[in-house]
Amino acid sequence: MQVSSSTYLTSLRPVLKELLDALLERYEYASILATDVEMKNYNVSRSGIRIAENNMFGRRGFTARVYKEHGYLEYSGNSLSADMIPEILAYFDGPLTGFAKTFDRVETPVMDDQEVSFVKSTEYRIHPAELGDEAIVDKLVNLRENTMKADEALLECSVRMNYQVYHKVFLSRHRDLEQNIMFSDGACFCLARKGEAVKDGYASVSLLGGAEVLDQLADCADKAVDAVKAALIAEPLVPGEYDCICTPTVTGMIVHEAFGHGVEMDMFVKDRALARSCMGQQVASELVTMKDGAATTYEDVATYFFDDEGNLAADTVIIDKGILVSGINDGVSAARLGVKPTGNGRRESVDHKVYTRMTNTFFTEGTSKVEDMIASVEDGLLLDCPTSGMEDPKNWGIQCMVSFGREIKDGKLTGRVFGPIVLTGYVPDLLKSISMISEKVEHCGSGACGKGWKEWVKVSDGGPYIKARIRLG
Amino acid sequence: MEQILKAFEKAGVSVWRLTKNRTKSAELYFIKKELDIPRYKDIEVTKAEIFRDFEEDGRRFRGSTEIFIEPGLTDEELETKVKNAYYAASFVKNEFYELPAGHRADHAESRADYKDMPITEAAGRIADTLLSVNSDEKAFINSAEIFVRRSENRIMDSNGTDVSYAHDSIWGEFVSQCLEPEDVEQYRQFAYGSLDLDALRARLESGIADVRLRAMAKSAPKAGAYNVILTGENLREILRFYESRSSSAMVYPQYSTWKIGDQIQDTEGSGEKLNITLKSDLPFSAEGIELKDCPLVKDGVLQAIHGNARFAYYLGIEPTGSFEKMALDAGTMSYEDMKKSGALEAVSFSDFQMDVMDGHFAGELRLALLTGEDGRVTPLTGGSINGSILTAQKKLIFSKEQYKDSSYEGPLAVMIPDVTVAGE
Repeated sequence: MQVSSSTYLTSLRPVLKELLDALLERYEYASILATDVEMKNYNVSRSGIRIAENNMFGRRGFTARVYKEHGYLEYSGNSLSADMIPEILAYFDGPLTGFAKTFDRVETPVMDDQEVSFVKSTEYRIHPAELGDEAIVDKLVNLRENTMKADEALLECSVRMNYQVYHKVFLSRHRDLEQNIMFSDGACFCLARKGEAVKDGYASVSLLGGAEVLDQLADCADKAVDAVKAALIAEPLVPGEYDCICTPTVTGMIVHEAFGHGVEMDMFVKDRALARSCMGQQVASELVTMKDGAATTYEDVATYFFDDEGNLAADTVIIDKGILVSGINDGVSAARLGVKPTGNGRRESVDHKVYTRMTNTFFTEGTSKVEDMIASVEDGLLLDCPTSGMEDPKNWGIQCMVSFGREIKDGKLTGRVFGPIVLTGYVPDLLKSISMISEKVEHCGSGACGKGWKEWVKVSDGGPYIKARIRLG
Repeated sequence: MEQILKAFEKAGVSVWRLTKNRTKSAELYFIKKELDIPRYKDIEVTKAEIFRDFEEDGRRFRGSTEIFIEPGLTDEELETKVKNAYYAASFVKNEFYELPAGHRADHAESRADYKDMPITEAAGRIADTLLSVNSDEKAFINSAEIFVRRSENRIMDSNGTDVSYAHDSIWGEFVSQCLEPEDVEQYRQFAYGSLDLDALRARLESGIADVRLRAMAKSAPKAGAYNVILTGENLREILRFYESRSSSAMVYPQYSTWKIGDQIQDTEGSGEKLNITLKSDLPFSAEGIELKDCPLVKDGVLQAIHGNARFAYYLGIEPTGSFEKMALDAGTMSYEDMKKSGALEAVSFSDFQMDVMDGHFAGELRLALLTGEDGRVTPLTGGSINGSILTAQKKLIFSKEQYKDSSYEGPLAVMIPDVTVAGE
């Protein structure tokens, strides 16, 4: 089934067009992004059951953008009727133009606005609204109860499912675009007590689609139980450099946090990214190819057809066999840098600013078998369960954290576990040390990505198992 | 609101809470000394919590669902949304609890000193301050974002609660950059309830001073155990352990075993006992509860379990509402003496985090300072710290000097003993 259009946006189109026409009469460039979003969370835990709408990643609303005084101005709202148009025009003519005249502007060319028009939708198998709240809650309650019964050591097994259906319309002088998209995710979060401390284990699933994500939650619960058991027996690690095998979720964190943020080209504009000076250079092992895009062959939660500036989604190769070949960008940054837009201009919500953001980001597959990779480690760790990471595009420092690593001695897992563990070091050192990559790519899109400490957008990341030399603390 | 109340009546909803928020925001984004983009927004959102009481096998339940009601909903859409939410609440089998006692109060005006100034003017003044300190060619503000927000809020419920307040806030972030001898940067946030341009200027200048030090840092600390000094927002992050563990949201599901009267912090030697008070700059909680200062820890003994009405009802205590600010009593050692003691001062991290579940804290060092016996300060960068508050809390030493921001009032610094540092 295809996600259908929003009746709200359809009914609002004449007013959006009227506002656009009024703006185009005054300004060289004008565009409007309008959205309608439904996001619902279901959660079952010791605290009880929760069903709640969530507007974290979006809401009904619009942003109007115009080009004036060598750059752009924006007004966002979520209440729009024909009689409000003069008030919105007054904001552009008044305080926004005032700012543009008071301060020197970052010189920005007018964005490309070649003619494109389409309506596109993603597919789903089971619409959560059709499955119904009762059935969804029942599945989550049963999964929680069965998991709790299976292991008396558990203090908690919290299970959740979220879905979001979003509709976007983008209008400019030459563009009339509409997309209708649904994604879902789910997760299990297990807790067990160890003295005064409470240890946790987490696993998640995500997909472009609907309530079919529930079918994958049982496996997710098993993984979360395994993770909390590992955390319970984890010992402190002696800091140092180790040979590491990273699971696909840890690979994903390295791809996303350590490197992905560094190729966001709005950072190039600010001179905040070391990657700008490394284009065409080797930054990783020859085994490494890295991609990002809302239109990659792999479809996950960050798949779409056009970005929040009306630029078409792309499939971008960032690292090609170890060589840095491209960054990703939003339309304004692309115009400033004189490069082609890659369709990575995203807003947390319709009323937030656009930044260059990742979408589905991953290392492509290699040729090694996971068992051979483990067998190749004389003394090292299998790193699992990423918990957080922070970017450093300027200096390519790594900060990533994982819950634990499983000890490998003479090519075999010993059963000893160490954690929690901080991964540090210099990004190219880690990427150049990658010596083996497994055959299968796995993705995870259950989390959200911030730009610094805010501006959360839905992303997926992942890759295969990798073998690398990493400084751990 | 009347349209929503009519929809409630039509759907048979008799227990409810409505929270209406309208926020206007002036936003300025700068790259170096130039304006990237100015933005203005005006967003109105009403959250409706719809409750449904039912019984099964002689047990009383109160289910609830939350929906957002945004402008543009037709009467028909609204009625359908409310009806569906009320139906969904019947699957939310939570033990019965009472909403907070109905509370009415006069509209509370904004406490900000710039409440009568247009937010666009306040944003302009902040930008002027930003540009006035951004004058050195070698060390400067690389980029900054300024958000000046003004909101009107109203909370009503079926118990008779009807409170409203205006709130102003200034929030922003900036990246300082130093080009020589190494090209490096530092990230900082600022948050104020008043138009305190002097505080902002000091914050900007200290951001530039710190990035100069980072530019001189050549190596990571030597690996080993250190007494580590944390300041400002990183000290506040450590205290989040006590704030979370004492919340009813953690106590009710037994993630935390803390009870009022528990000695939650044992001390050894010269270790200082914690005295913490929860505070808020808002007059009412999200449930309309009047927010009063809440003494949380006195000499290491827990004084309160804090949180919302539902978990308070289950625990048999009074709901306090939720707080965003912590205040801590001043300590005994001067900040200078801490630094002279040979402790490693962790000035900034790429991200410093406290895991409130297991008490573990960690972060990668962006800038650390080590003061030698001769008083010479060595800037360091790289490596990470990794410790547990469960063991460290016995020997915490706090500074005499005070510090204040939008979420913390208390000692400027804490010295934590024997923290593992991964370095060179």
